[in-house]
Amino acid sequence: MSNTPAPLDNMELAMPTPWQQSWSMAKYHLGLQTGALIVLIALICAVFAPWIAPTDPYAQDLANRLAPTIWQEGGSWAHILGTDGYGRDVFSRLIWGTQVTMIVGFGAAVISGIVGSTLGMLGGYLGGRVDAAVIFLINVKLAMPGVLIALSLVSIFGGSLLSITIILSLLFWDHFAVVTRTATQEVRTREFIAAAECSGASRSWILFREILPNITSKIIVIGSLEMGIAILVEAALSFLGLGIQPPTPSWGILVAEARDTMFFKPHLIIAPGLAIFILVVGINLLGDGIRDVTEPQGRN
Amino acid sequence: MFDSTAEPALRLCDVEVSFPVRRGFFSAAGKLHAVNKVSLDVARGEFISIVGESGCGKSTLAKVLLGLQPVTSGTIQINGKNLADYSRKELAYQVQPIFQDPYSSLNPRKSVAANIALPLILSEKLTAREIRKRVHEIMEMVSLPIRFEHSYPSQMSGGQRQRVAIARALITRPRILVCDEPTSALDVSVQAQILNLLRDLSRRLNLTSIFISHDLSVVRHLTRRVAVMYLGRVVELGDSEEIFNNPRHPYTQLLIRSILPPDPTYRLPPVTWDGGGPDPTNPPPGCHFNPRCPYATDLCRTALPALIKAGDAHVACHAWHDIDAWRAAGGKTPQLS
Repeated sequence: MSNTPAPLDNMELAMPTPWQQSWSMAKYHLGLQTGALIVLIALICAVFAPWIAPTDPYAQDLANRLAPTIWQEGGSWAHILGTDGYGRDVFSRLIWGTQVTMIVGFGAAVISGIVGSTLGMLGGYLGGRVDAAVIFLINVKLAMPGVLIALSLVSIFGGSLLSITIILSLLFWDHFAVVTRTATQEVRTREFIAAAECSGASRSWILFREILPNITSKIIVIGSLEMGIAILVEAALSFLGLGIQPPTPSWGILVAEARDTMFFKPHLIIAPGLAIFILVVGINLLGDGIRDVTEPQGRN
Repeated sequence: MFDSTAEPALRLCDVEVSFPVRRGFFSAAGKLHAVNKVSLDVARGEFISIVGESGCGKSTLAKVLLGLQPVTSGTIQINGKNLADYSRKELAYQVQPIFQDPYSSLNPRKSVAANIALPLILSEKLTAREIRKRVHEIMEMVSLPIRFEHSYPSQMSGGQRQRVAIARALITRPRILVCDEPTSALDVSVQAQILNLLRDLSRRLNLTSIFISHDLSVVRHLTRRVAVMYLGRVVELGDSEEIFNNPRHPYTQLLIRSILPPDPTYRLPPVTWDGGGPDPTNPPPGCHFNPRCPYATDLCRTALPALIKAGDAHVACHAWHDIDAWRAAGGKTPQLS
C-alpha cells in the first residue's frame, strides 16, 4: 500500500525569491530611491573630487577674497559659490569636503559595525559568560558620556582623518552590539540552527553562514543611521576646532570658518550646513528604505 | 521487517536529563527532571512512537538522541557504540532530525539546494557537481521537482518545505531518523502525504525511526510500537494495537479517550478526571500520576512503580492488574470529582 504522493509538478511557484521581492519593492519606494540618489551623488563627489572640483581647494587668492556667488551681482562662473575669507573657491572646498565626510562617516560605520556586530553575535549566540561580558561592555559604553570622551580623545590623539574615524567608531559600536545580540538570540532558537548543529556545523559556520545572512539587513540599517550620526559628530568636532584640522576642507570646518562672515555672507555657512543636512537625510532615507524592502515581517 | 534478536540500533539505559531551576531569587535551585530513567531498545528498521502530553519530556528525549542535549546520567548506545564516543560528524551520519516547524527549520536566506546539501557540505569533501547530483537524487526520492532547487523556502508551502527538511535529513543516508512532531505544523491534507512519505522512505532505506508525537490517531496508523511518556518517565510500552485496544496504564486510557473522532455529531470526549498537570519541578511522591488517577491507592502515593511486563506490553503501574480485571468485568472508568 504504497501511498507515495503524486509529484508536485503541477504546482507553480507563485512567489518570487526574496531578492526579487526586495527589488520589486525598491522600484516603488520613493524614499529609498531619493536616499540612494543623494548618497550616490555624494559618493561620486568624494571619489572624483579632483576631477569635479573646478579649482584647487587650497589655492588662496587674497586679491579676490569673499567673492560673490554666481547669482549675486558681480558673480562669475569661476567661483560658483564665491570665495571664502582667504579667496579659496567654496564650491571646490565643498566637493573636497565630501571626501572627508564620506571617509569619516563610512569608515566609522564600518569599523563600529564590525566591532559591535561581532560582540553582539558572540554574546547572543554563545550566551552565558560571554554574553554577560558583552552586556557589561555595552553597559559601560552606555554609561560613558560619549561626546565628552570623544572630545578628550581627540585632544589627546589629534585630529587626523584616521584618529577621528577610529574615535568615532569607538563611540557607536554599542548600537550594533545591542541590535545584533537581540537578533542573534531570536535567530538561534530557530530549528535550522539545531539542524546545522546536528550535522556537525562548527560555531563559526553557524555564526557566519547561518545567523549572519539572517541579520545582515538589520546591520545595514543600523550602519546607515550610525553613518549619519558620525557625519554630524565629525562636523561638530571640526566646528569646535577639535576634528579635522584646517586647511583640510571638511564640512564642519567650512561652517566654522564661515562663522565670522555669516551675517553679511550667509551663503558661506548655509552651503556646507545644507550639504550636511541633505547627506544625513539621504543616508537615513536609504537606511529606512533598505529596512522596508528587506525585512520580511514588514511585508504585506 | 526487523530482527529483534540482533543488536538494537538504539539502546537507552536509565537516561536522565535534569535542568536546574530557580523559582525565586533566594530559594535553592530545584531540579526539573525532563527525562527520568528512561530505558528503551529500538531494533534496526523499527518505527517507534513516543507519545505524551506537552512537557512530558519527549522533545528533550529527541534532543538527547540528536546529541543536542547532554544527559545527566545513563547511557545511550547507537549501533553498539556510546553516543558520547561519536564525534559530531560521525553522529551526523547516524542520526538526523526532522523538526516540527518547516517554517523555522530551513534557513530562509539559502536556496532549497543549499539547505538540502548542508549536511553533505559540512562533512564531506565533494565537488559542487557531486553535491548537485546527490541533491537531485534525494529531491527525487522525496518527490520534490528538481526545478525547486534554486527556490527559496519562503516560496514554498508547508508540505513542500517539510519535504526539503526530509531531503536534508536523508542526504547523508543516516541510520536513525528522529522526527519531532513532523506534521503538527501542517494542514491535515498535507499531513497524510508527509506521513506516508516518511513511512515509505523508512521501509525503503531500512531506517530506524523515532516518531515523537502527541497525535494518537497518527501514531496508531503509522507505527508498530508505542512508548507512552508521563512526566519524564515511560509509563507504558508495547505494540501499538495492544496499547490502543487494551490500554493498561490509567494515563494511556486517558490519552486514548482524548482522541477526537472526525465526526461532527460527536461531543467533546468526557475527559473529566484531570486534576490539572502536576508541577514537574516538584513531582508528587510515589507514582507521578497518582493525583490525576482515579484508581490511586496508598501504595501509589508512596512507592514509584517500575516498568514491568503486563500481558503483551510493559506498564509502570501498581494497580494495572486490578484495573485490567475491573475493566474486563465491564466496570466503568471512575470519574474523579
